[in-house]
Amino acid sequence: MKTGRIFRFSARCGVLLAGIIVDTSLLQAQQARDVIREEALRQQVAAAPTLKAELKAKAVPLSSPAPAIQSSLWKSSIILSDGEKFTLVPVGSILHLPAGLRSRVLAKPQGDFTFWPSFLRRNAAWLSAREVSLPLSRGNAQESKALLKSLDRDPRLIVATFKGGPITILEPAPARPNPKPKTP
Amino acid sequence: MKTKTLLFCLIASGLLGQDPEAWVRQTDLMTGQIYDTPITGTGGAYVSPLPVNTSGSLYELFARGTAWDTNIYLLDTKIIGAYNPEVTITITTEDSHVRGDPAGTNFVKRTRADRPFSVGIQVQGLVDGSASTSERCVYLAVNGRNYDPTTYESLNQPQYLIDESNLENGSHTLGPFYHQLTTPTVSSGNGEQSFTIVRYASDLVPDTILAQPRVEIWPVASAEVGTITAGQVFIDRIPSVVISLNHLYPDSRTYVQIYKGAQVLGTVGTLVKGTETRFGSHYNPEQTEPPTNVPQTLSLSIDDLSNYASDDGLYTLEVITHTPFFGRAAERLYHVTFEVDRVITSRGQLSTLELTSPATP
Repeated sequence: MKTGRIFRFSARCGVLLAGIIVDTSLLQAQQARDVIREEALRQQVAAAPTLKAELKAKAVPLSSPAPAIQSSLWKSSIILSDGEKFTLVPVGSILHLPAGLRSRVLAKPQGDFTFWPSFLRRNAAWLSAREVSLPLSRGNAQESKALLKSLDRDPRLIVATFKGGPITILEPAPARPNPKPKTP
Repeated sequence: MKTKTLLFCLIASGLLGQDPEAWVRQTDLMTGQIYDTPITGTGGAYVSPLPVNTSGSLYELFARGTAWDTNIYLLDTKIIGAYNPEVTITITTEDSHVRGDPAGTNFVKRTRADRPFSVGIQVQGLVDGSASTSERCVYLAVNGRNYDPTTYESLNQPQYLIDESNLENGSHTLGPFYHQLTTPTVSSGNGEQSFTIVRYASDLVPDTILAQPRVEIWPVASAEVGTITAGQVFIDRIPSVVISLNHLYPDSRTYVQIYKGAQVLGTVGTLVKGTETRFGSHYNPEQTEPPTNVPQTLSLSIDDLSNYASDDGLYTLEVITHTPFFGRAAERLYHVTFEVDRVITSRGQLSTLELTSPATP
């Protein structure tokens, strides 16, 4: 009987103790602290693993020149500018560029970037989009010829689009020379 | 030529603002033909209007930054139809805040300069044991960029290489380590570290960025209090006190408190009215405006400190901040103990009492 009481008491103590431990851990997590000073932080940094050491242990050293980590966006785009805003269209998407509008094509961006649809809207006086078919965009010589002829006297800069999006017009494939007749 | 229409999923959130604008650039890997599709909306499925031929296509999602930030960002990259390694990446900090899609590859996390973080990179789809680097490895570049120390802006700030390496198939856990920004001190770290993973050029595909998440690192906050020096004795009204708060974390609650007695860390004192500042949605749950993304530096003036120190004795003034770090526990940025001793006034009252005392029986 007495032992039982002690057991029950111990069990209660255990629960209480566990509660205290839980509370203490919560208290630890919420404990106030002084913001770290530079000297103490430097000591912590010195004791921690470094990125260099981590990479040495877990990665492989470079065996060839590093690849480009910049997107090819600028290399594969033409910059069109109205003096205040600029936009990007794919290389090869300009169908027609009158001599008087050559200054609209820049080598480096100037001003703020804006997206093609809004750039087209704000510059409709000198800029136009021409919808093209997929075969034409992929080098259909016959269609291309007819299209370019129709644009010949247009005073605006014209960009090829497919379903509203600027698209590269591929060069027509060069005509293959006639194969020599096989000798029997 | 065999063609098919592709259902291509891109999440265009994060850097996009209230009026999102982005575009997908599709590059035919065989012909080099480029097609731009302007898109609106906050993201979701993207159905390529252009058929994909058997050689495959590279898709890149670009977007412009918000508000003042008119830079163009590459948000996501997918290669369809060609051999393509897959990379998933996580950056673990004590701040749960994230911009962009955390399940994607171009999100932005944030932390504080005195807190370590870790990076987990999972690479699969490479050819183990191949003699070709492009088949066996992807490239990892860790770059840093210091932000403007006053405006915290990244505009026109140069990027620099911190470290680089190749990663093979497998799970790579790096860290936890502290930031490696080239700021004058560790605690003044103010910038970003990016982790760029690039597929080496091969199979007609140029060098292609597969993932480029970043972690923003903000300086450790500090506070300075003018007018009061440690141990100073005030025999009259305490003059106005100017408190400079520097680099308050974008998710923080900061205030000035005062209590009687010498300084004891963890003491809960009386909050000095008008000194509490709250930044971020955690401390402003009712706020509908987008919260600030950068630290805040400001000054406060306390004109009525005497009202909090009416009795003679020692008082301690503290600047406390709460942030996502250390379970949002109180961090003391500054403390000063001073004394209020209005004994001269008290002696004057005593002498009056002495004069009147003989009248009593």
